[in-house]
Amino acid sequence: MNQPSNSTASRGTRILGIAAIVSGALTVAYAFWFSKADVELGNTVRILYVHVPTVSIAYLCMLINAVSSVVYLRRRTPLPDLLAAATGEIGMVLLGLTLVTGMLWGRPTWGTYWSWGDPRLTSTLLLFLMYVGYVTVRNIEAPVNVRGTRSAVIGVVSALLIYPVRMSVEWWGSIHQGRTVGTPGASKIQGNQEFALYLGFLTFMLFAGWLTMHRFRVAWLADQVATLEVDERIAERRSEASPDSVGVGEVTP
Amino acid sequence: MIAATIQNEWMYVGVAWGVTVTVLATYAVAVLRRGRELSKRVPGESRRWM
Repeated sequence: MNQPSNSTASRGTRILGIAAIVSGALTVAYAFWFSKADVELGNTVRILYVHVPTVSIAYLCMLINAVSSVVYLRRRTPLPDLLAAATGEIGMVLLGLTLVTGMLWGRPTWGTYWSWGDPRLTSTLLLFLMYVGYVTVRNIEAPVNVRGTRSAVIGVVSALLIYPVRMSVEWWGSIHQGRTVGTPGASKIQGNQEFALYLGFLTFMLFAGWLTMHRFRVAWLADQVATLEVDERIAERRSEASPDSVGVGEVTP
Repeated sequence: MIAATIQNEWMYVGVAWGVTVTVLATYAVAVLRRGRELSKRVPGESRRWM
């Protein structure tokens, strides 16, 4: 019989991990060798190969977080709660990277890192802070059902902001450009540039999938450890209260 | 002037990619290490649910 693994890895995570590494290597090759500098954006177009995928996969993680949160509020089972925890945290990390790479793209392109008056930038920052709040609430010590309910409500409310953030350029005007790809016949980049971007999507999707599986298992293990600690404390209290009695889990000879 | 602009652009490209790779690698390693630490404290039969 196989010994249980001391890690969160499995065959599934290994396959996803290798696929993400291969896809990542191809993304780097296309981003830096096969695609040329853009006529308008120059070499800064290469920032878009990470900036656009990070935001798209962050939205995807946040949507999974919201759906899982709704399912948890209805069913109260651990799977959606832990999946929401994993995707909420990964979404926050990816959106944070979106903000940083966006600022680094904005400086040479717009002449500024940040504009507080811009609806896309400020609404994205607000969305990021909502998920920082989600992760913070998630880490506050509380009974599992209380923690799950609090964080699920925040997850659902936070996700309501995704659509306004996504549409802010069209609704309110912005220095931020519209969709780079996805509009049929109106993509802003073509050829190897477009291919590099799609490879970026694939890489970040595979990486986020790999990370979600690991993070889910970490959340599961953390709950198991918490349960074991409670059981140990109860056993200690019982043995303190009646020193002659047999402790929980002990076997009498 | 053009050379300076290109050099400047590459600096932003390098920092953007560098930050992305560094943050994601650091986060991934932290998740894996936490998983290993927690696994040691949980009996084998309770370690895996998915």
